[in-house]
Amino acid sequence: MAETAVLAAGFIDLTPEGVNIHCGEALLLDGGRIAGFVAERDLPDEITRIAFPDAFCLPGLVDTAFLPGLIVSETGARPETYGQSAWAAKGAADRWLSSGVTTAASMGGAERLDFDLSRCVLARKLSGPRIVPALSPLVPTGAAKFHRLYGVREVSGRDDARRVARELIKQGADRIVVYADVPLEFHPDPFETSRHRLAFSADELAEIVMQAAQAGLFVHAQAISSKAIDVCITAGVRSMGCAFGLSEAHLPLLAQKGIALAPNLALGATISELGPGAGFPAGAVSMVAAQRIRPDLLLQAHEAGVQIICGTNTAFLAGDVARECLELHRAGLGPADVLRAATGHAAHALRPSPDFGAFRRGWAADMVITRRNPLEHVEGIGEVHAVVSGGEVIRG
Amino acid sequence: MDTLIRTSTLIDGTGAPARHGWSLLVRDGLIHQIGPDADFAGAEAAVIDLTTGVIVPGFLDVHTHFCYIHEAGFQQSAQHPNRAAMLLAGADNAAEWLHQGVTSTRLVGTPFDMDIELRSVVRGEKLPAPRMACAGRMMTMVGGRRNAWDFMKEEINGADEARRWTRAHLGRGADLVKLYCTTLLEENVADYLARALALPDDAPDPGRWSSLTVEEIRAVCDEAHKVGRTVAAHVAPTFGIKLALRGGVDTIEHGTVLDDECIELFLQTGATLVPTLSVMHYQMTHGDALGLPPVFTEFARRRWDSQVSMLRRAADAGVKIATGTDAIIDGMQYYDEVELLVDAVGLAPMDALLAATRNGAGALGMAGEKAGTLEPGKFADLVQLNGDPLADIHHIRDIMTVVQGGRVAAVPDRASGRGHRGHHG
Repeated sequence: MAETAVLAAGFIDLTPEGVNIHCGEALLLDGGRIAGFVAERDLPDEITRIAFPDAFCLPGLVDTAFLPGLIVSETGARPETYGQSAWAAKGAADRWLSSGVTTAASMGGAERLDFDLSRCVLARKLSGPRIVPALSPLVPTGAAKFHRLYGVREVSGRDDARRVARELIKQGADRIVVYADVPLEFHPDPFETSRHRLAFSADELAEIVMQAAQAGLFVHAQAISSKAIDVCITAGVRSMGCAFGLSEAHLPLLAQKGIALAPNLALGATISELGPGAGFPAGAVSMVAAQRIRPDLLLQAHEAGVQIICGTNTAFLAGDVARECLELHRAGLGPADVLRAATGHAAHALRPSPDFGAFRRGWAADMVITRRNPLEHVEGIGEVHAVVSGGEVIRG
Repeated sequence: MDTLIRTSTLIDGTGAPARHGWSLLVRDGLIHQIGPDADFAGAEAAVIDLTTGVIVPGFLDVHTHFCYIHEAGFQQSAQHPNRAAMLLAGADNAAEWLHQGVTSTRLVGTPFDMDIELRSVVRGEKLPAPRMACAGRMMTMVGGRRNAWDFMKEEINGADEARRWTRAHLGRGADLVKLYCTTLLEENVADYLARALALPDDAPDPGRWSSLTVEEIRAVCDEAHKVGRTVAAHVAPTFGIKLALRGGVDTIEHGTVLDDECIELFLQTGATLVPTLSVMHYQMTHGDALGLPPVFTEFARRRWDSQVSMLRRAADAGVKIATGTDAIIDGMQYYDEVELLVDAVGLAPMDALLAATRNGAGALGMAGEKAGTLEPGKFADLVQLNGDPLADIHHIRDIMTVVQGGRVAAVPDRASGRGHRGHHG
């Protein structure tokens, strides 16, 4: 028996077949889960109603690249210690949730930060989205020129890859994140920065993918160069981020192997806007600013059947899924495809059988309520009126 | 710009009687001048009007564990204490303690040095919190860790190792060193308590105890004192109290069983006793509701009377007593510790107030030089109470305003619960 009914001007239900807009219907919730749609006029009197009569309701947003370890705090300070990092991530978790993100897949963080945060959210000690922890992102040995708070682990060789993957799974990772290729050093010339990159072999990545698959987990890869993208495709990762070196030749392979693409467009846009003053190495800023997936190529990828997904991958206050949606729309994706990238497609890139990201019976009652219809105004995704997470109204 | 804090009745925490119609001139967070209102005629300063109620110095809780969460409790077998949860709980407990009038604290033992992390976050983010002197992880003897997941402590063996560990730990940012001087090497604490309960009160302690040596303790104190830091000693049995005092520690934590020789050693060394009455009392009065094994509650009840009478004897002899809550059980409040000193131990309200203010300052080490009393050169940390605590100590609960560094830092609020909640973990 449903306990609660959510009422809205319209529910935007994105199915693989198309877009259903439920008007005059209420969404029934039971124990934080979705129980189904019912006509408003058939609602029993005794049911608790949560009404947003002038607003639109879509499934809670999913960020596939939440970066808790290095989040810049609300005072603008970049964290230097675990404690500062955890505190900044606390603020970020709350902001992400308030912006409609009800699931955030971590890119990893030092000292189990994302895992601990995920447990804090579950225990209701922290206001934030459901966090899918990755623990330590993996990089090729020698390429660990990351900030300590990324918490990266170096891997070299197939045996090492197997051992590290097993350890991460044992320690509670719900996804594995790899940086497929990493620059040896940052150089003021962005093309110099990206010229010499240490990279995983297909064997190493394939071993990680296999270990993850046995545990029912997916592997997400950040890949920059064209060659690294080749390796990720060969190894069969589930999703790929950045992918600056993407070419036409990759598109049919991505579609065929079901590898989702997270272009992290908001990252480049935000870094360009903030510029070197934000405290990043000059080479990193100019590289990210100079190298992005060509918009025409992104559209081609979409038309070739590659699933596009949202991932912020940013430590900035400005970075959020709404911004990523807007950038995807600017690149040519239609509103419904943008919404799929931010909900169902993203959810399926995180788990083989997700229970969030769509209005399905038995799935988590996660939703974001916007004043404007995002199918007509994509920027409306950022105008959040209310957020419901696990059936609980968080804001609004 | 200077700040002038006007008061009606002011107790300065030195032991002097209450002053009437005095003001404090605050400059850079410190008391610049204190005296009758007439002394400040024409002073150019922003005014904080606290002319209702009674003003007392900000309280000091010199034995707390803000970041203590049950999952990380050293008696639990949690494989991976949640460090993020420790930090979040720490920030919340710190804000709550400030609202309870505690303007300075000593955090005496936190796994992974999370209190030092918390201090850095509090400073960086300017969060509402008491000033914090942090011990980080504790030192104990080989075998002193309760189990493989006891991340609260590190083990040493010998004076050289103790000295090396102390130097390294001070280098990690600790404001004081917390020694777990004596530890009970019992697999099953409940079983030990049951054995102790079966014996007469004057029988020797039936536990298997291990302790740091005087030489080890002395090496720690030597290194800490060189750099103005203090040493706090957790001790339970009587022999441990004597060892720790002979080793030169600054404070004895808990000190449950004191004999005449202990009292004499306190007086000789000038060490401070932090009896942490409220944790035992809370266990005794709330144990059943908290689901503690009955033997814990029964043991606390059995020990209570002798504990408070020993404490009274120590106080009468002139041992310096300071308040520390050891708040590790959900629901505990700072106020309890001060009230118990009057209600259970029988101290005069002024003595309880001094235990809550002046007496704890030395325990804070460098952080305490400017805490505890309202005198020129000290922190302008004070609490406005809606009632005279010397007439009824329970008025310490009735806080109107908390001032820290000359600024209004907290205003307890019944609606939000701030200032009226308990510790949570």
